[in-house]
Amino acid sequence: MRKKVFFRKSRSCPFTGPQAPKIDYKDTRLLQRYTSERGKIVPVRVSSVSATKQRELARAIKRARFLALMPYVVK
Amino acid sequence: MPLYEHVIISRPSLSPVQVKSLVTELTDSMCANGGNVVGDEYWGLKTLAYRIKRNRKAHYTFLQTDSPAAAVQEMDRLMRLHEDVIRSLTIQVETHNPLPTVQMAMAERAQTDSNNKTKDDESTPQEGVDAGADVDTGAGDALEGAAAPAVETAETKTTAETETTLNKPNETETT
Repeated sequence: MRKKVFFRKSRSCPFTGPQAPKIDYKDTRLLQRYTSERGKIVPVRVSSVSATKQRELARAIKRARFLALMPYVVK
Repeated sequence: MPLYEHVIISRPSLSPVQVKSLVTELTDSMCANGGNVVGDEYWGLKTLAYRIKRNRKAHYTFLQTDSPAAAVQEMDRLMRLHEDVIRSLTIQVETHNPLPTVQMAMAERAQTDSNNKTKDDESTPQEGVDAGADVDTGAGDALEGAAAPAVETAETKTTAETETTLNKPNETETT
């Protein structure tokens, strides 16, 4: 197995822990941190969010998009 | 009884008073079937992130309810038929978060900002920016900056066209 040259120190999920913010589809400022410039949802390997929280986050972002609180695509 | 959250998006041509009467109309039908409204908020006339039914802005109303499923289904059905409601979202939640929501705080902050601005007689274009709800003025300026070069390219195009039309008769003469 190839040894990873750039081994990143394992960062913890920002949504787990005592001071963690709640994922809310209405909190667009929080959600925008996890979308790219184009408006796409950032993958887990970049944001280091845990799998369950990423699913919640994706659900919240999609709800916010449906409510036109966030765009689907940013040109 | 299960707890629900509703977001009702209504047409911008309505006045806030009309929006309120629309919402009471919907909640009355729900209360008649045994539900009750725990909390409600009016987030104001917000700019949409994209156009919905050719509208760039809309009224946002947020409700927290505690009602049986049949009542909520009835309210959903009425919202779907109502021509002034352009979009709505109903979700079931485990607990109601305490009000005010983040959106309400943002709306209130925007309100106080606009009040302060009218006092100071400054005018910054906050309205009339299409893309991106929760617009920071930074984003708005970026969009305006993007618009300016587009105008310039159009002007350069027209001058290029006139040049080509001038050139054409000369070319035919040479051939």
